[in-house]
Amino acid sequence: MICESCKKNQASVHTINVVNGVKQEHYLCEECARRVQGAIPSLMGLLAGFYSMPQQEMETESCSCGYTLAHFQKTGLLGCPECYETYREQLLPSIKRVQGGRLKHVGRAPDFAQDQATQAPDEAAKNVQQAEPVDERVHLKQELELAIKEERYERAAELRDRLKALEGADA
Amino acid sequence: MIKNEDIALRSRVRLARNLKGLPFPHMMDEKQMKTLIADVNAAINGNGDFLLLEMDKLPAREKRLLIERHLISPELAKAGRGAALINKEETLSIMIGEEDHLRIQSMQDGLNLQDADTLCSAVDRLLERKLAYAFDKELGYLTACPTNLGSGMRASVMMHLPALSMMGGAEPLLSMIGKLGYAVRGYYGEGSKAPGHIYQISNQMTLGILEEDILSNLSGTVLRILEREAGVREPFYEQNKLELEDRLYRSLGLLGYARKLTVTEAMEAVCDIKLACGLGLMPEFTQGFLNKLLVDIQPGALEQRAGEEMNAAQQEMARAQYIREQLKTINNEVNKDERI
Repeated sequence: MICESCKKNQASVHTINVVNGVKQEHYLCEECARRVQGAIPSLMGLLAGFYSMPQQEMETESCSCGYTLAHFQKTGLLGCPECYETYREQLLPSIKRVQGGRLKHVGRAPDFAQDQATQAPDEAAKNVQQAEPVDERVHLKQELELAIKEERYERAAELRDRLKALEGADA
Repeated sequence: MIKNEDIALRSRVRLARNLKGLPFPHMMDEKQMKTLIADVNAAINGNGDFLLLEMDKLPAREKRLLIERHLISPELAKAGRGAALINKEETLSIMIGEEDHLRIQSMQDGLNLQDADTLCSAVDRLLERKLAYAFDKELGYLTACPTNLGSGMRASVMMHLPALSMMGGAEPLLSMIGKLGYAVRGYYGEGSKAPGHIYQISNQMTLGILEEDILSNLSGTVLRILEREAGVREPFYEQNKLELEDRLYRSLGLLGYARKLTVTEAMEAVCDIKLACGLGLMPEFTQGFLNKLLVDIQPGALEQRAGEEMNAAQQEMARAQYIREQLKTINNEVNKDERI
């Protein structure tokens, strides 16, 4: 396939943008893809999936550092540690997605945070550790069903492969 | 007999940490960056155990050398600001002002994530007492990118998989490993090809999983890949004896006589010698010598020895000459032994 933009080079980059529910696909060569990269959100931004959010809300500077969700979508980075508190609710789905469905820290903690931690952290950690493979599969299955329902077949195929791999690893 | 160190070349652990009340590095102004560097240096380097290298004062040549030794990332070098604190043994470095305020990382030879972690966490504990870390009891250590939340830990092992790779078995194996939550990259990191069949394998998930599990899961995975590579090497050699020996001795010839060598050419040939050495074909070489050679033929290392910047053509000549000299020292040793 030939690049849509320069119509000269072989297209090697396939981009899919969904803007307000409308899917746009582009086939570009590496050079043209790099040129338009500024317009394409970062991978992290894509995973964030804020597309349903009104632009105005995304550009509201709620955090004292001045960073907005629109910035996050573009760069994949937060502005400061407090951003996690300010935008917690909006960020949790994307955090869950990149962290394999997990949302609860179980590992080491600085001394000052030890007191806040739940009683007997070792016990809690052990439980999470044992429950983990089952949780992961249940979560993947749920996400797979949802993906099929919403006709997101590429994502569904990915999820199916991961499930298979997990089940294969247990067998 | 194939040893584990022939296949698992190097282990690395890094911890991402940030300070409360300070924007992440990409939002920091110059003054904040300078203060951060000074604070971290004061917190850990009271005895002068670490070398402080500030990116805005360091020549490009020295930055390249640090990247090749995996002591700083290409991103930190490119940013042109921030700093690195490096210990004398070059087994530990603290990058200041990369994507996160702090990236504490340790490198060890062979498959040894445990020692790398011990070193990192010791430094982490020291820093934690002096600096106010940004931590959330649900999300763990807060990081600029959500992919590092929780433990902030990325562990990786560099592996040499020539037999699997030549048999076409590396790609399917590594793609399956990718689906299990590991990232697989080439020698130079993200997006790079794998010259000399060298791959880096690292964990992707950092939240909701114990540090010890990240390390033991990765070690387990690496050991399984290692067994696979070790298991196919001898049969692969037996079945393709003439072709493989021809290839490996050609590589020896190339290294011994070429007048110009690109970095990829040289790395591939050195990795061939590593394979030959592992198969017992070239007993005059040791894996340690070859691993050192792999680092010493990188562009930054060549320029460091020459004491000046070099263009690509000059580097190719200097590389070929350096390798010829190194090989001669080996041959001299062998001749000496024979005379005795």
